[in-house]
Parts: sequence; structure tokens; C-alpha cells
Amino acid sequence: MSTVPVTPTIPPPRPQIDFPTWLPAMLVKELRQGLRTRGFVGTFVAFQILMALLMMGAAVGSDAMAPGARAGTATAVNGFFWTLLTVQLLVVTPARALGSLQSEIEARSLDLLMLTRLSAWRIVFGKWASLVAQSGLLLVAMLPYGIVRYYAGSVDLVSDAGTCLALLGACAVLTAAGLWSSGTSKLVRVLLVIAMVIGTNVWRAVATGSSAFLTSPFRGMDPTTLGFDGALTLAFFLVAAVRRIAPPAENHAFFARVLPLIAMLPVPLWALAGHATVAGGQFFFAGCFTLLVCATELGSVRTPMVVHLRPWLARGGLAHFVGRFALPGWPSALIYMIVALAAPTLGLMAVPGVVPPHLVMRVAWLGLLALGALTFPVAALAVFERSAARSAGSVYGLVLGGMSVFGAIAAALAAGLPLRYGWIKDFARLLPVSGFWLSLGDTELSDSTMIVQGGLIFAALGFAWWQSHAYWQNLALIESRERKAKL
Amino acid sequence: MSAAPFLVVHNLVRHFGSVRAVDGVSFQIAPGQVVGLIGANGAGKTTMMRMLATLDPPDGGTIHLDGINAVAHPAKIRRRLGWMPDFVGASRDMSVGDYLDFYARAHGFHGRELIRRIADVVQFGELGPLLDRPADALSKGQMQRLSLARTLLNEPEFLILDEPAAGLDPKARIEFKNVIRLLRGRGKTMLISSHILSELGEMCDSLLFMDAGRMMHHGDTDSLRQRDAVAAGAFAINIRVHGDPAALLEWLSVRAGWRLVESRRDGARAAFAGSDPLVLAGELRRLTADGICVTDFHREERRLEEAFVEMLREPAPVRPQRGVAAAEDRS
Repeated sequence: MSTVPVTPTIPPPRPQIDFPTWLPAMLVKELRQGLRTRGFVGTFVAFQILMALLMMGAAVGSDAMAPGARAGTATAVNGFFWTLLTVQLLVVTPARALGSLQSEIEARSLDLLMLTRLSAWRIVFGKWASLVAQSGLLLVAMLPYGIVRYYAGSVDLVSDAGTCLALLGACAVLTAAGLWSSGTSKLVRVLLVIAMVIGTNVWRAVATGSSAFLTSPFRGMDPTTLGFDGALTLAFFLVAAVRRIAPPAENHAFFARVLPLIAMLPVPLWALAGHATVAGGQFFFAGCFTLLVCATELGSVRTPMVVHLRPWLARGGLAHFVGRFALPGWPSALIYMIVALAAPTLGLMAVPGVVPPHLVMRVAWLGLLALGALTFPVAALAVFERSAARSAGSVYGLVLGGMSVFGAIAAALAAGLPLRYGWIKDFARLLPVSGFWLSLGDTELSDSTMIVQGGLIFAALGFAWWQSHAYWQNLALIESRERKAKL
Repeated sequence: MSAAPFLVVHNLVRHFGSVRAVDGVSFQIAPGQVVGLIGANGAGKTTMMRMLATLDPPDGGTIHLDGINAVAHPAKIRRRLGWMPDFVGASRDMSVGDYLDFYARAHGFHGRELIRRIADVVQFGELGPLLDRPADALSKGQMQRLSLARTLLNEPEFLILDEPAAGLDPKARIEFKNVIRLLRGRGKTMLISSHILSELGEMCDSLLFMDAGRMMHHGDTDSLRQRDAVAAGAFAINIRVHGDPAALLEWLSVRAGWRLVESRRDGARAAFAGSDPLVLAGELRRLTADGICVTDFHREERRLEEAFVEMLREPAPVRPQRGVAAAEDRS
């Protein structure tokens, strides 16, 4: 480096700026890097070449073909077109997201980013927006072939436009899910890709060359509700990704925990408007969403800091009370879960039309079983809290997953083996997690089973409550210090 | 320190499980001062630097930068500090120009200001010829220049440099020392950690020594080199004479205030009770006046490394009781 001041006659080297300077830093960085990666360039070029060859082949061959054979060619072109788009948007892009945050962690650049004006939100959002924008670019680049197909016949442009939007929407949600899981180990990420391929039915698109699989699971659902639920799921995955990289002083629990409550809001509105089926479907989605959020929230052993409390303390009495439900760590998540599961369940059972009268008791009991299923791993986590501090989420997931697998094995054994093995299923039905899964399929439960199930649920809740005593004591200490400091 | 302190760290504590990584550290840095942070691996240097950089919250104690509480207002502090860790944090498919452009945008600069800031740091770090090179394929020295350029993008007043000279070749080290001088000339307050004590001694106004999470010493290099001597009220003096040293040895044995430590072929090593340089100069005049042909007379100074190692051997300072420390934190 120079120790001699540079004379004014030598102009300083000026950097080349290829993107407008008002564009967000993270988006520009990710676009610069993303557009240069082999993942994007290779896919872009390969898809263009493949579609161009296919179109040329179809155009040359169609003149000499009989009308029936022409229709077959059009179907093949359609299939190929949708397969390429589906693989790109539902597999390649989310798979690229899987390594996105990990690359920042490996480059150790997160600390450097935190010292700038970039927040964890902006980092994650920039990465997500860049990946979705790149997918959009690929989609636009493929559109000319989509329009050429129109001249080959058997193409419904309106339907195709809807499918393209659905694909892009699904891509946005799956990319956010990929970002969420990008901080996990390689094995977990590989398993997630497999789950993604199976879960999205992409294999069906590849096997059948049809786009129908995309819309069939949602057929009959209100498009507004579908978009609303998709947006909530997207927000959940994004905030979960943000929490992976956010510094300990930041608390994103409130945002994550308010999402299931928002999901529940349209249920009474649909019910009161007389759309009982839509209301029921939304109630089912909101219930599953609540379970997902609760499960992720309960797998955390973080302790609250004074900076987490300040916003709630500053707003006075009611906010102070609400703040207890939105602090990091499983004890706060536990009281949130009780409210999040009990209040909507009880409230919606009171709204006529949402839950049929003969199912009211069953829904209430399932809600209680869900509470026990989510609390039981917390009790295990509380025991190993010190040794499992770094991998609390994994420990929680392991207990929850292990017990669920046990329930599935018990059900399979009971179905496929002689009666004398029936006790395994009976035993699994009593335990908190496996009991929840098995009870989903049982229309009638004996009183003795319900007594044991209830007893175990309250035992797990009591134990977790007892274990959370130190957390609340610490919180009271922080609050009293903060009050004294203000005085 | 004459000026009001720029950085005030009081009773800083950070635990990792049962380990006290930083254990009640307190010190102050005046504006424009360059302070070296020295300690063995695991001494708590990086943990303390991360807390000063607002990357880790302390478990106890306070940090004030120019009167602003760093724990309560980290965002305000981040605008005024630059942290240069021992890595550059560059990703794949990113050129040097892209790297600087990204961080300039991340600091919130737009338009002409963005271009000016980048041009300034490119000029300072002589990175012009490297702008199109991949940022992750630079030499160690070039990486350090890039890292420093990134650190200077927001024109911080306080710089935290974590092992900036690690892995640099001798030429790059000399260049780096010059850069520190330049930054000092611009009025930057700096905290520099390093293992190379002699270099820190040259660059820094004062040194902080840490061991096992505690601060062992804070003072200038001379105070460290002469720490034991001052404590004992005596200095070791090396004296060389022309010819037979017998006359010198006899002079030392009869002269008040002197004690022979070791006789040598061409002189002696002796202890003199007193630290006043004028008194010592008078003793030299007396020695020559008594007819002893002195060719060398100098106060013995230990190398910083020796002083540091000796300091580590000393018993640890008494730690205040937990209750007392907690009460101080609260107050």
C-alpha cells in the first residue's frame, strides 16, 4: 500500500457499476453471483437448446404426419415443455437455495454483513428474491416456446398462464423452505430434496409429461384462500431462515407466532358467509400450520435478553403481558402453544357450521392430544437442556420424529400381524406423540385409553412447567433490572 | 490519558458454558490512540473484540464508545466502527470490484457517494489493478488490503483489527505498518490484536495483555519491558570496558547503590538501585572520571516476548467475588 499521497493529477480508478446503485445490496450481489453460476447458465443454455431442437423436429415432422400423429407430437412437446419448467422451478431453484445460506456461513461473511446496515431479513429476502427472479427469467425465456406450442394446437393459454403462475408461486414457497433448511447438515438437506421431489409430485410430471398434478391437489379450493395460505407459508419459511442467521439479540418469535393466528382469521368469515366447506378446509390448514409453528418454536432453548423485552416493556401493561408469549425459548413457546391451540379450537367450535356437532368432542380431544404430542419432546429437551443447547431443534425433532415413527410401526404391525401383537398399537396409542397420530384414524376411544392419554399429557405439561421455572425467574430478574435502570 | 476517553470498557464478562472467556476486563482508550491487544491462543482476545464490535452481547459489564452504550445501541456503534477479522469473507464468483460495491451498498451508500467511497478505498489499498480479479483468489497480502479497504468504506472512527499481520510476508508487514501510520495520521482510534509482539510494540501507543480472560497489564511498551525492574526498584545495567574489567568490578563493589549481578570477559552486568535517568547519567560520568574506560553503558531492556512470557508465569490477580462483581454490574 502506498505511503505517498497520490497527486491530484492521477485520477483514482473508478469501479464499474453494472446494476443501478439504488438496487438493494443483497439482491445485486446474489444476481451477480447467481447469473454466473453453472447451475443457472447450464440450465438456461441446455433448456434453450433442447426446446429449440424439439420445436424444429416437431415443425419439420408435422408436415408429413397424419392428423393423429400430429396430436401425439403436440402432446410430446407439451410434456417436454412442462417437465423442463417443473424441474427448473420446483427442483433446481429450491435445491440452489439449499446451499445459499450455507455458503455465507462457510465464507464467514455473516458477521461482516451484520456490521453493515443489512439486517438478517434483508439478507434472506435478497437471496430469496434473487433466486425467484432468476426462475422468473428462465420462465420468460421459455415462454416463446410456449407460444409456439399454441400454433401446434391443443393448448389452452389461460390454463397454461395459471399453471405458470402456480409453478412460480410453488417455486417461491419451496425456495424459502430451501433457504430455511440451508443451515442444516448435508444429510438433512439431501433428505429434504428427496422429500421435495416426492412431496411436490414432480416425478409425475417427468413420468407423464402433464402439468395436471400441479393443480389437482388444490382442485375445488378457493384461489384467494390458496394464495393467502401460500403467502403465510412463504412468510413462515422466510422468517425461519432469518432466525438461522440472526444475531442472538434479535427476536423474531413474535412474527413467526402470529402467523398461525392470521391463518385462523378467515375461518369464521367463511363460516358466517355460509361456505362451510371452505371454512373447514381453512381450519384444517390453520391447525396443521399451528402445529408446524409450535413444533419449530418449542425446539429452542434460547434465553431472553433485555433487548428482547424492551419493546414490550416500553408499551405498557397489555403489551407487557402479550410479550410473554413472544419471547425466544421453549417456555414462552409453551404458553403460546396452549393459547394458540386452545383459543381457536374452542372459539371455532362455538361458530356454527365450522365443526359438525358430532365431531366437536373429537376435535377438542385431538387438540388436547396435539398439545401433549408437542409438549412431550419439550420435557425430554428440558432434561438434556445443557448438553443439547446447540442442537435443541434436532433433539426436539428427533424425539418427535422417533415417536411418530414408533406410532407408524405400531399401526403397521397391528394391521399386518396376528392379533396377539395388537397390544403394541394399544401401547403406542397411550403415548403422547404416537397416540396423537393413531387417534387421528380412530373414531372411538375407550374411556380408559382417554384417561391414560390425558394423564400423560398433563404429566408432560406439568413437568415442562416445572422445568421452565428458572426461565421465568431469569425473566423477572431482567425486568426488575431494567425498571431500576429506568428509574 | 489527558483527553476524554473514546472507548470505555468496564468490567466486561462473557461466559461460554462454565468457561469465563472474558472475566471482568476494564480499560480505556483515548481518541486517536493505537492500542495493541496481546494474548496467547484462548486468552479471550477475539471474544472481547467481537463484543466491542457489537457482534456478541456481553454477559456483564459495559462498553461505551464516545459516550454511547454499545450494548443498548449497537446500530449506532456499527456506523462508527470498522472490524477487520482475520478472514475476508469473499464468496465464489465475486470480483474485487463486486465485493467492494456490495459492501458499499450494504452500508447504505447510493449514487455518486457509492462510487466515491469505492474509489477512495481502492486508491488507499492500491486495488485498482485487482478490481476484476476473483476476490477469493488473491494472495494473503492482497486479501488483507481488500479486507482493510472494506473496513474503511464507511469511514469509521474506531477500527478493530484482528490479527491483521498474520500470514503476511516481511514486505507486506512493512507495508502494513505504513498503513497503520497513515490511519493514525487520519486520526483513527485503533485496537489491534497480534501475536507478533515486537511489531505491535512499534505500531502501538499502549499494549493490553490478556490471559485466561483477564487483563494482566495495560501500559506502554517501556512500562512492560521495565515492569519487574520498577517493581523491584532497580534496573539492570550492562557495562563494557576496554581492557581488563577488574577495575570496574572493584568500583561496583565499593560504590553505593550498585550490586554486581554477573561479571563478564569484557565488563559486567550490574543492578542499580534507582530509576532516575539523571542519576544514572551522573553515575556514568563518575565511572569515567574514576579512570575506567567505558565503551558501552546501557540499561537492559527485555524483549516484549520475554516480558509477556514472564507475565504469564505470574500468579493471577485476585478475582472479585461473584456477588461483588454482580453488584458492580448492576450499579
